[in-house]
Amino acid sequence: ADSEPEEVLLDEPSKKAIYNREGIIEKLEDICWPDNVQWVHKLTIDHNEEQEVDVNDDIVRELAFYTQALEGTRQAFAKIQSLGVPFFRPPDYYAEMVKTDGHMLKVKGRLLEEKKKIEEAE
Amino acid sequence: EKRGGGGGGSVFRNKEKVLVTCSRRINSRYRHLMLNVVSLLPHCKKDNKVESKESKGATLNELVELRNCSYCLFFECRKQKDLYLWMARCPNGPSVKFLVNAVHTMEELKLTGNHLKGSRPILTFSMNFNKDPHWMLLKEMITQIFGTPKDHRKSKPFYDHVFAFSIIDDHIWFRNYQVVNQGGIEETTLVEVGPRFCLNPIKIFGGSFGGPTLYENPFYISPNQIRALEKKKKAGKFAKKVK
Repeated sequence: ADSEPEEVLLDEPSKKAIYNREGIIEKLEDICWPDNVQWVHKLTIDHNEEQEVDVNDDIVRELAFYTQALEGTRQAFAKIQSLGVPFFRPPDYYAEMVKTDGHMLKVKGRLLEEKKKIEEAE
Repeated sequence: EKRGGGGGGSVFRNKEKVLVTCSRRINSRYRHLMLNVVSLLPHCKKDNKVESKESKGATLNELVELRNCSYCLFFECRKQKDLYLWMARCPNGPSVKFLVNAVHTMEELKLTGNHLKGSRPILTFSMNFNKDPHWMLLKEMITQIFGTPKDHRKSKPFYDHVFAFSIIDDHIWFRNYQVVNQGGIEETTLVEVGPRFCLNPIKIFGGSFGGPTLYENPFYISPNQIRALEKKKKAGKFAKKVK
């Protein structure tokens, strides 16, 4: 990402920028699923972050994403459990993964290599 | 145009289908990002590259109808370096154009997470999606595009990954984590799978790939303008030296 040009934003919001509040709300109502849709169709969880995150601090920012995802997972787990549906897959359930075995082998190889380097350095 | 047979007491069914495609002459990283997104959406259909010109909207709308989809994700690469992402609800809109930043594909990130292909993701949103109508609209579109329909024939019945959509600094950040089962939900940890990207909304249109503008990002400067400014600055330096 370092090779990408730095993004620049205007300091002052442009006064000409369009904001059609009514139009947006109308569209939102147009495309919304019916109100009574069960949560299990959406699987959405809102996360209330305690404080503003500094976007330039990589560690703080990634931690905020991690926390959001983890707390969301816990809430979703409780909801799915209460429906009587299994959440985790059984250990003997095998199926195609999003990353192939070959890809994971490369990742593992790299990790081992790095570990070796550290050990050699010591 | 009410989908899903929601009313009348009948059972709701999520029938959203997403067409995913990109512009010609897209660079390999951005094409990989698109393929990563395809691998995360079992309810999507991938199509051939589309020429990125003024009339692309009509072409894309036609394609979406032909492929029987309700949404379109169009990765538009300009000048081999700028990536724009269109999210469009077809055929009646709305549509959004984003500038995509901070791209990392699954391949280049040596992340150790992995999850079932086609398992339904849990979608987490930061609370600030609820503060303005345009964010609420984007949240709804993201929910319908990135959520895998329940009981989709290519989906798997377990939950092992979670998406994070978070607004920081008026940008939408995306992360995908694997949920690692370590005995109970309290002991659960997450491992990142990838990809990563960050979306800066530029404009929201009432129609699909066009129509009346509903929202314009008041802070946005296009990458072209930024480059022009930089050039000018450099030129200014030289002019000073000559004097």
